Amino acid sequence: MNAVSQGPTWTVLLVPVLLGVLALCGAAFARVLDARADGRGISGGVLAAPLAESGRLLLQQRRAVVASDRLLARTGVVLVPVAAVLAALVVPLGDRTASDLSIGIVWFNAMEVVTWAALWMAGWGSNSVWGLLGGYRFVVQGLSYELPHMFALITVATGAGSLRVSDAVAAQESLWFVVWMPVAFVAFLLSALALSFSGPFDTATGRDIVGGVLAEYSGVDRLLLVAGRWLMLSAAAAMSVPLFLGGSGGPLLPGWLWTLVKAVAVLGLLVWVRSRTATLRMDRFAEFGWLVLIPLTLLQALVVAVVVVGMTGGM
Amino acid sequence: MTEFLRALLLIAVSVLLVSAAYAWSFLVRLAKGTLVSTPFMSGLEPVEHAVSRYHVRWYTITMVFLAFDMEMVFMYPWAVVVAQVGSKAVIEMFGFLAVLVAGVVYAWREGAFRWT
Amino acid sequence: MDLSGWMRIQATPRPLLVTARGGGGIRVAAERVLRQRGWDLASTPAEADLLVVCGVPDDDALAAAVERVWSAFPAPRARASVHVETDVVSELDRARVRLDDVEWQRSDIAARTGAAETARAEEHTGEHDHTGHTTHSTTEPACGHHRSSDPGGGHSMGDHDMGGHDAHMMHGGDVAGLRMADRAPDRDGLALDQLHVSLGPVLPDWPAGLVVRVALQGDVVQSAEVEVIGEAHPDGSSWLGMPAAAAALDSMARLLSVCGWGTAMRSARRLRDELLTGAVDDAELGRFVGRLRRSRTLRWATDYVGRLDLPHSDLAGDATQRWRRWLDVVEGREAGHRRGDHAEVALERLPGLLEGQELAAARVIVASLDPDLDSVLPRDARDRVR
Repeated sequence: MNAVSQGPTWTVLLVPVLLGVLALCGAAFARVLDARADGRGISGGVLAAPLAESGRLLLQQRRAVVASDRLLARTGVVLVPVAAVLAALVVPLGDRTASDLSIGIVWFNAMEVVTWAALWMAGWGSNSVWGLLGGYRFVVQGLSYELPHMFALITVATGAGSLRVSDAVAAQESLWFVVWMPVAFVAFLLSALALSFSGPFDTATGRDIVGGVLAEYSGVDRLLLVAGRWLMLSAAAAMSVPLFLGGSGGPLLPGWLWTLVKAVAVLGLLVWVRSRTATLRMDRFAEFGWLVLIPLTLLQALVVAVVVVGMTGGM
Repeated sequence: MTEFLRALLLIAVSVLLVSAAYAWSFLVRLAKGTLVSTPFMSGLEPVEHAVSRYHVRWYTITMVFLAFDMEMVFMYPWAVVVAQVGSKAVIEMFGFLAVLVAGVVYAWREGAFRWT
Repeated sequence: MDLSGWMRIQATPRPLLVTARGGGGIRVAAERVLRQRGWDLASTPAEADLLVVCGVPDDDALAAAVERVWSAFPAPRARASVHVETDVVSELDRARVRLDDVEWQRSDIAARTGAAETARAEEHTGEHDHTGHTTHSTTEPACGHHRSSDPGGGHSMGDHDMGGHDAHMMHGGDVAGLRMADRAPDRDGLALDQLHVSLGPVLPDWPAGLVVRVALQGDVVQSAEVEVIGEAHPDGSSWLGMPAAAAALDSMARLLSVCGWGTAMRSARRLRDELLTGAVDDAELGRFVGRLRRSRTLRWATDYVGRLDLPHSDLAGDATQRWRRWLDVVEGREAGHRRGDHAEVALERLPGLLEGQELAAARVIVASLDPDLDSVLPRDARDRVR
């Protein structure tokens, strides 16, 4: 496995393209699971449904509620997909990365937190009870998943001794982090669903509050919110590859293909979990997050720190 | 430095892509204007605006969260140097975290994580 | 063909279903057709482009609600009214054609914009006439009572914003013709804003005819008032003749949807339809029921919610016990769904159950009672019968 290095400048343009394709794959797989539950056959139409729905939303009139705070709302709407694309900046494809930031892990964390603000703005700004409740729910969800998520990231950084994503990949040359950091990996996957407000963590857009943050958005605004959710889920799935699954490491196939295979597999797993669970209500999840997930991820960080110190001391 | 320039470039690209979506939608849709409507209220008239002041019932969680979040600011750089500093760094960091966890347990006993 | 035309043909419509009392059977039929076509159900007018009214809104309140929802649909839009089950397919096909009919859509948009301009002009003259107006707030267009009777445009304001948030000042406590929320003590005695929200009549996964007016502080229900609108069908609900197992699966699908488990909701609706046509695979039904029973996340959403102490009733226990009983009915281990005066008891207990609950829990409570209101008579009528 070659060390990850920064590719030419045009690779930046690949980030939104590849992330978009990955997001479409995820959305199409969700449609396949839906179609199977519906008892419909799996046809080309089912696979193309995310594209067709995007087209429908592009053709739909835009909408606003009387006296809504349009500037705030539109800022929130735009920020959701933009934050997702930016989060994916530091994910290496094979042994090339668009930008090897020295604080790549913190960058991912920071971009993901932008979603908190964005959803709250979109919810509050729409001047609708449902949007308000959706935004409110998402903030408390953030308070419950964010710390386990950050501890998972810090565990990786401790194991790699660096905040650079390429160093994290290099540190996994002999042993993938998922093997000795399983708790951090699971916490990361849970937070991947939570930070993209999907699956069991979709209280912010729950059907019980008629779509919550999404309730009053139509047309291209709605498209950006929904696409942003899929982009964010895909970005998190792709990020799990360099953080836990050894980056591009693997036999036979070229490195870039291994990255894609692993990212698609993680995304598929997340979408499948989504189809097998009911929504977790935040008044119930908060307690679990704080009393179970945080202590567990802390223990995981402690184990990794002790191992790292022991290995350096032994040398 | 080029890393951060590329981050700026990606910000520009993604804003451009979002603008392209808006422009495309404007070109292809039939109704160019924005429909201004009353909020959806199950088919009845809304009585008042939704923006309102209400009790954030998970306020106490926010306080505990802030304590941890400040600690995170230290933990990121800590993760980088822990191998060099050695066991002293581990003991100090997890001693501090133990204090915070004790705070979490106290908050739990006070019912901060149950608010309904 | 141009690009937008091609995009339009590729898209599948998003219907918003409205069910009148007595329209339950039509709703089931419509859901079956929509499921087979892969037309996913919308939650709000903003998401939807097709309004499907199941049953006859033979009541002014529901008819007005339907018009108001219709006026909140963005373009393009189309509507279908289904009065009998056999019309489902033809009505949906007709609406689909209208949805793709560019000329019709253009004239619809023009009509709505025109109506909005007229209203704006009226408003302007009105403001010049009474400069020291005192009754202004009652005729503000955003309150829109006079315009909801307008058949074409409803009270849409078309392309005209009532001014951005910064453009209008508070006058007499009104912004764009609507009050700001007023304060009331919350359960801790703090004076906080209170929102008055109506759940139903047009709400997805909600019993037909039910309207619950709640006062919310944040997401906590402070008080709830229950009302049933629409004409009763005392000689027979639309559920008569439906096998109990299918009716129980219908209730289950609704609860699953409220609990955010879309995939299981789809399976429940499909199995319900297969039960109705007699084509159900018992092994698959058993697997599905088993999966629901084992689901931790579903139990997490419903445990301890809406507890009722009513021995020997369908309604006894918490939401979990109620849906587990439905699954017993599905498996044939218990006979009868919604027995006796199920709906009357549920309506009576509802306000007490909802008070103090979080809105998500309140939705679960209603879905777990799932009263069939088709044959419930208004309270005064019931008293007269007695």
